[in-house]
Amino acid sequence: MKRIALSISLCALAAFAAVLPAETVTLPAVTSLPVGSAASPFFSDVRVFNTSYTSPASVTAVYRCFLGACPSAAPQAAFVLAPRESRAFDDMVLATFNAPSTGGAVEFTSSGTDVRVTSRLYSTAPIPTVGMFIPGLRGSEAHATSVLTSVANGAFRTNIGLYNGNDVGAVATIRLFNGTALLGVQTIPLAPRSGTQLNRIFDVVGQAGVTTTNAYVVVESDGAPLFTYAAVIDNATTDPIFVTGAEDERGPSGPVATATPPATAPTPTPTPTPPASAITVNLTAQTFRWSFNGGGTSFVMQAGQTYEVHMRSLDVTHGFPGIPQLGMEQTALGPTEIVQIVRPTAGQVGTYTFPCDIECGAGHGFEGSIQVVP
Amino acid sequence: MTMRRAPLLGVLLSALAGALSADTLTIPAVASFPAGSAASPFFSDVRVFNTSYTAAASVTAVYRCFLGACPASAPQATFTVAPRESRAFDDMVLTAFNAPSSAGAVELTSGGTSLRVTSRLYSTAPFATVGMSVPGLKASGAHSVAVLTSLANGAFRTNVGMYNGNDAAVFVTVRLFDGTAQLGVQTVNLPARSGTQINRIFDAAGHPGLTTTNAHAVVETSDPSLAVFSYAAVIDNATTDPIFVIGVEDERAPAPQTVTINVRAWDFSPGGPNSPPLTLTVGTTYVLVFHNVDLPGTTNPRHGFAGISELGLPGTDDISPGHDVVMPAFTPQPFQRGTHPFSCTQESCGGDPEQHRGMAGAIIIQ
Repeated sequence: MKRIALSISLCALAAFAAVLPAETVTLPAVTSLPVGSAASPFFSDVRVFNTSYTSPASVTAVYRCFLGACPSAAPQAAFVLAPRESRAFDDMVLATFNAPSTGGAVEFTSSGTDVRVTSRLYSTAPIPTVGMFIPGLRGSEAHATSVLTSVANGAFRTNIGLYNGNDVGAVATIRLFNGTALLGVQTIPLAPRSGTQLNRIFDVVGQAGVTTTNAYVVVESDGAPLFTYAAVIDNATTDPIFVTGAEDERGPSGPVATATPPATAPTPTPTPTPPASAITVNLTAQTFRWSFNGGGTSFVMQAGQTYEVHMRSLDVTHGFPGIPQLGMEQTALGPTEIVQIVRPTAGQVGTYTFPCDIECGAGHGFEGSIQVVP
Repeated sequence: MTMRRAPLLGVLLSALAGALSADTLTIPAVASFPAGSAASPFFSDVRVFNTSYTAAASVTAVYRCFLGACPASAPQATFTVAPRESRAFDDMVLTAFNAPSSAGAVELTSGGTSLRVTSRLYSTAPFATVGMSVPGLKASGAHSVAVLTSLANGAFRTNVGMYNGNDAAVFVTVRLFDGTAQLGVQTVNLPARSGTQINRIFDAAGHPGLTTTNAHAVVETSDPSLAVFSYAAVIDNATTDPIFVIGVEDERAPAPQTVTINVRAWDFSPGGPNSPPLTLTVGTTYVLVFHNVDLPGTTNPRHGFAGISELGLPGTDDISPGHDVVMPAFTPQPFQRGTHPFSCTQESCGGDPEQHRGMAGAIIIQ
């Protein structure tokens, strides 16, 4: 009887082993942006290692592109790692997935737990090279609520990234704090197996002028756990570090229960004061189109007239590259309105075209224009 | 019976919870080397965050210095982190521990699990600044066997570090590989609550000229019950920009398979010429032992082994009765497949030079 029971137990164990779920390791940020792209040149060198001394590992890598000129279907690569093999994938997004000028995440799925993934995401400008270590993360490292610390602005800039590795959509709420002050909130819908990156998070929430090296970000999902990260970049060298989101406590329901001043209170962004005769212009960005006053992608300004340009994004983060000839500054656009004052002169007559300069998806790079007439 | 057990069970669970409640996070690498130090200028800016919305966290930070001008005893700092506070410790080794020109690890212990620790270890030269993210690791981030990948040499250099957060010393072996080829082995003794860093690991392994961007290192403790933190700092030589590769759990290598080769006048068994060749398999680790089995009364019962350099097997001139020769462990690689001949090096073995000249065998790698 005991022998029969043992046999049944062993069979059950064997059956259990056979149905053990495949493990997926996720690189939450990869990219291939060559020199000449709208953004700085960035590349991802990836290494995939099989810890087993005896068994090869069959791996399927799926590129989940969500920034730039993404392919219509998710590119895949299947390969086998010999026992103890480390496979190199230099500039993986381009070389393996043939998806230049894009960014996203890569999911590596194998039938066991033997695969380890590491990568270096690096830039070649302004000094070759500076980069950051990005580990392959297990599913347990995605969190419904996560916190990102060591977030900085001023001498640094910080990009916040999210990846939803689930088969259902999620809505992420991103709260940026400096001390106990809530600087701003962004709410972003994430499609299944997709993500986004909010470049210059301080700009996005309208706090571009804040100087800090001790801010933090809380990312809260409405359900599914998300991979989150911060890329904190030294503006002088473009050198980034990669801060992985760590599990956080769920905040109390309702309004944030800390002594939280209004979003603009800690360091208010100076609001330009236009002359009384200024004409208000609304410029919005929405994937993938600029719109002046809810209409076309171009706008005519008359030399000598003052314009108050109210800019914001209607969806994801976009970038206004600035028009230096007109004194308009580069800025990231989120839901918070950014106002710039323009008073073109007769010497500035001409047409000024501007693209979106923050990777925002498949149609990134869309253009608008301002024409100055005498 | 159940009723009587319940209070006891409650006490036990409570005690267990109390024992589990203290949580230590370890930053395995911190430094404060000002400009002008022997090393490049390096500093660690540390952030300590309390995830709790309701409870303050009392924290004890202990600096475990093991490089440079270390204080005689481990400096400590105690502080309280308010709910949802992020506490900044810029250049922590200097400002919190007053230990300039030194490096080591920091252990942050609190009464709960609400702490999160991040840090940036950065250099200000030749470019200000370049750095790497060094997280505070939970105890589960230490391993008795870990692998470090993305290692590079040539345009890059790689330093490998380890920290032993246990109360007992442990030997740690670091094996460096490029592809499947083992480049070298380093064994270090790590005292309790101490660590080390092997700078330029390729140089230390005797391969300073090797150019690679796909090497890996295996870090293994001598005691499987003792786990250590391990990391690699992979540094771009042009910019001094480092990345911090965290050691992840690896499999423990199978024990080497010992193969005894019986040696007598004039044969290696297995090997040849009378016995069949010795056949070994790629990927398996072997230890060869040469054991003399000459019959009593054999003239000059002493033999040798010429060695097989392509397999990393050294030669020996002394395979004699009562004197076994143990070769270093080796793992045949795919590129070593084929037949590797060897011979005896004792010209008058068995008292017959003519027979000696025929005493040759082979190892076949399949």
